[in-house]
Amino acid sequence: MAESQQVGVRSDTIPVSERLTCPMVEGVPYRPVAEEQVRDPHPWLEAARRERPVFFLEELNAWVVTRYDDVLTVVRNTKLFSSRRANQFIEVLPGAVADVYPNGHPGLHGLVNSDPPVHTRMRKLANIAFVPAAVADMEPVLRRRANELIDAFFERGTCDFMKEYSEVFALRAITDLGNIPISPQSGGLPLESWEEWARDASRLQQGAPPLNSDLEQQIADRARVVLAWLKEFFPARRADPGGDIISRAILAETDDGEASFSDAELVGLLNGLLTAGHTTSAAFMSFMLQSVLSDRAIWESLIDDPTRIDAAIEEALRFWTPLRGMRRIAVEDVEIGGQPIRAGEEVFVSYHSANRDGAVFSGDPDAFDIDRPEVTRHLTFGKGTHFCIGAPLARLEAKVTFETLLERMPSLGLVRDDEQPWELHMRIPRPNRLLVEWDVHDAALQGVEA
Amino acid sequence: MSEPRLVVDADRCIGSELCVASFPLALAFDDADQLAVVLDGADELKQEELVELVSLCPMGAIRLGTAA
Repeated sequence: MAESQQVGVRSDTIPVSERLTCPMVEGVPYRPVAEEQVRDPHPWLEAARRERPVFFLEELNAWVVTRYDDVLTVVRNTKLFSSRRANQFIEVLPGAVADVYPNGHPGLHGLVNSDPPVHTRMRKLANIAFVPAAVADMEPVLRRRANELIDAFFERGTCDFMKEYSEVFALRAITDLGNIPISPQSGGLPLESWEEWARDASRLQQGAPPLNSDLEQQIADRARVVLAWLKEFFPARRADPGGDIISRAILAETDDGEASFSDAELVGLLNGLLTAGHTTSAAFMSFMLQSVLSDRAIWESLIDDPTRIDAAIEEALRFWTPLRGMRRIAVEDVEIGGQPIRAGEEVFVSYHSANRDGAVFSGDPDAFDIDRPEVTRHLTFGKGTHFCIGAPLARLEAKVTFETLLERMPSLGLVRDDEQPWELHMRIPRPNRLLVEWDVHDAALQGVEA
Repeated sequence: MSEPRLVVDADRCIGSELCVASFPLALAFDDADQLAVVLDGADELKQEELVELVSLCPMGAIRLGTAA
């Protein structure tokens, strides 16, 4: 829809009288960047769904949509709501970073921040690369990676699952999918370069903790290295393509002869894949493990019946919602949840809140319940045109991970960690540590039973 | 009775609604069953559009029926 590409963002101040903010809870206002509320914003979101389902949030300069049905209405309607700033980067990139990205962060040029017809073209091409068979082909690779990572720490009987498994596994899934060489492979960058490039994208988005000048310079330096590498890599891959997803994206052409991805779009696509694949998938697997191990009965039930892993994955996606929401811009004056929104104003669709809406999720929506009947109705991957292209891969990664853990480490348990650090990001929070332990005789016991 | 032009595998459909958003005259989303359902408009699609529609599904839940 060409007209939505043109919609401007209103920068004029909304009159204070119209700024209906989130209801307070026990006298405490909603402060989405406060540590305790990043960890658990649900009392405020629940109050909002009940009393003020669309409220204005100064920190995002957007109307927050909290009820499930209203979120669906927004994400389904691409004519009324533009995605041009779905992933909003900070308004003015810091000087050092702006020098590296003179046309803005590559995430601005990816799928997420585009509307039809630009989005339609890119999505068609991306779909050619992301055919279900391409993801399914990854399963043996993922199983090998999972076992290699576990082999590396198994004999210790304890590990930081986030650092030593989730982050590496999720990142390697993307680099394997793209057949990107990682040093010491010839010509490859260190894995950390990709990890930091991906994390830097979320650090530059609205809702991230504030940057300091040292970090800004590091972000710029890291980006310079990756962009220089990609400048050599894309032409080389174009000249000698394989069966990987980057080759598929480079070679993809639509039936009606529409152009394939430009190099700038490829950088945006890759950055998006790494950011989503690394940041959210890594967080998701650790969040899920934390929930499943917090209730031993659930873990035991998965050991007894591994077919329940699928339901556990869906419930963890609902419960944690690793990417808490996305932005949209109202293309024309509209009313959502009783709140008038003016053309050009921005809304934030809170998947996190919608996924706890008692109007859709029965029983206690704040409970982790893998038997809930609506377990697949979550909005974690969005809906419609912008449905997360990496969703099948994220699910497969989690499935392979849990099947491997249940088989190899049935005694797995959480280590008490009262100081568990989190990345205090308003939209993409994550635990920076997940300590677990197990009986190193697990494997031997399996051997005896086998 | 022959199969329709498009068939949605209910066991594989995850309700992404990508197909519905892209081909609203051919598919709709059944909120009650949380499934994409084929509409009569699917009969109007050209063969290449049917192929594109099938390729859209992230779960491979849509296939061409024998009438396609």
